[in-house]
Amino acid sequence: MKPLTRILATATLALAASQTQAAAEPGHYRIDPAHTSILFTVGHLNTSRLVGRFNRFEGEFVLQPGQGRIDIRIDTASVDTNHQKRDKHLRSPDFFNARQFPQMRFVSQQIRFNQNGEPVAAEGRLSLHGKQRPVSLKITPVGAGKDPWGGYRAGYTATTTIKRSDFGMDYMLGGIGDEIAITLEVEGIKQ
Amino acid sequence: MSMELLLPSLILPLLLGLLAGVLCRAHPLWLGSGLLATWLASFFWLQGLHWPPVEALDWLPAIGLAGVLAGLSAKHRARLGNRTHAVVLVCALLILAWPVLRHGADALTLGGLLAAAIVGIASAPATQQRPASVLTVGAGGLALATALDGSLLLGQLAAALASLTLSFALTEWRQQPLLARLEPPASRLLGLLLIVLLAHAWLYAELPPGPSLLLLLALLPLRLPTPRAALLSPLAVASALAWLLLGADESSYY
Repeated sequence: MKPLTRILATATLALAASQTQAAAEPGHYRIDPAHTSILFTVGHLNTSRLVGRFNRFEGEFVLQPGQGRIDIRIDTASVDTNHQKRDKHLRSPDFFNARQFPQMRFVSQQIRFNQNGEPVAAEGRLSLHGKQRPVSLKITPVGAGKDPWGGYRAGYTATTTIKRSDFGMDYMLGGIGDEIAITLEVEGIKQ
Repeated sequence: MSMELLLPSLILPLLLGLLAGVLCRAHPLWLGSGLLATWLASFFWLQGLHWPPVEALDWLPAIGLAGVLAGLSAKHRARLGNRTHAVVLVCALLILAWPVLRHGADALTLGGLLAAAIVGIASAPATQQRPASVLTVGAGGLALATALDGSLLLGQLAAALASLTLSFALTEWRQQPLLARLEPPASRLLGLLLIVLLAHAWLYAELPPGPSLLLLLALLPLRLPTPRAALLSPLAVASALAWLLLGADESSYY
């Protein structure tokens, strides 16, 4: 490898390392909806898995060992499976009953941090369809650092699996899976 | 179509409706309660029993209370007078409509409920022309409309109502009926139930306004004294379904 190429490669790796490996700064973060995705996967007829998303949500998280907090509020009517009729059905009393229960919400009660001060798991309560149940999130840090506009951002992947029947959404369990895998790709802006 | 769908929404209410019609032939006043119990059997099968009520649909068993109020008021109408009777029926409708009013008290919903109250409560002929036929066609139309465009669950509940009145509808056209006739207050109670299901479909299952109004119109013959008025029901239902089907395309089904 030529010396210039070697220098550039080393500099790139160093920059990448500084962006991805440093723990996020402690503080209060507002979730950026433009760079956050909330996805779910559900089984269909024991044949395939369907991926959907929620398009409207807001929330915040606090990174502070001992005082950490996550609060995410999702508009259930924003469910989107790339099929207008199916989305309408999902909003109906058969599933989310979005008119009566317009919001689902996760609020953490305890967050576990690793030795670097990064969150790795959260225990909390999910309010959905008029019921509240305990839910655990597995959290994987993605990266943190300054953005080009003078702000500071931190990103995480959070995953969990719930049973919709636990929340009273038990219609058509034979054809549509009970277990729902949820993935949150979150980017927060430090306030 | 699987038995899981057919049993609670078609087979069970049809059989229990027949049983109620035979048992209540000698006691027509009990017919309304019997048919309501039949429908509730399907309801609890599909929706389950939730106490305290969580969803709006969980309040539907309150129609028992509404039915008792309406039935007692109808029985003692001569003593109570028309005004008191009308007030009691409005209260019965409010009990049924409460879950809808809680979550959708906008002008259109209130207007629709008011129209329904007028359809259901305005001074009526002493006997209705083929009420079971009107209810069967209306409930069947609602079942198809919501199944096509919104909520399979509400469709099944409406189908259960259509199934339990089907036997009475068929017998209305015979010179010598095999079952008890569906007279007020039984037909009024079932009509109220159908209106509430329609309100749920409009509000919670996003049934479009045009088909919703046509399905409400399908119940108008319950208030009209002429025998030919019953033809309005299938016409209104067919129009509602055509409206929905014409608006659908290949991607509508999944």
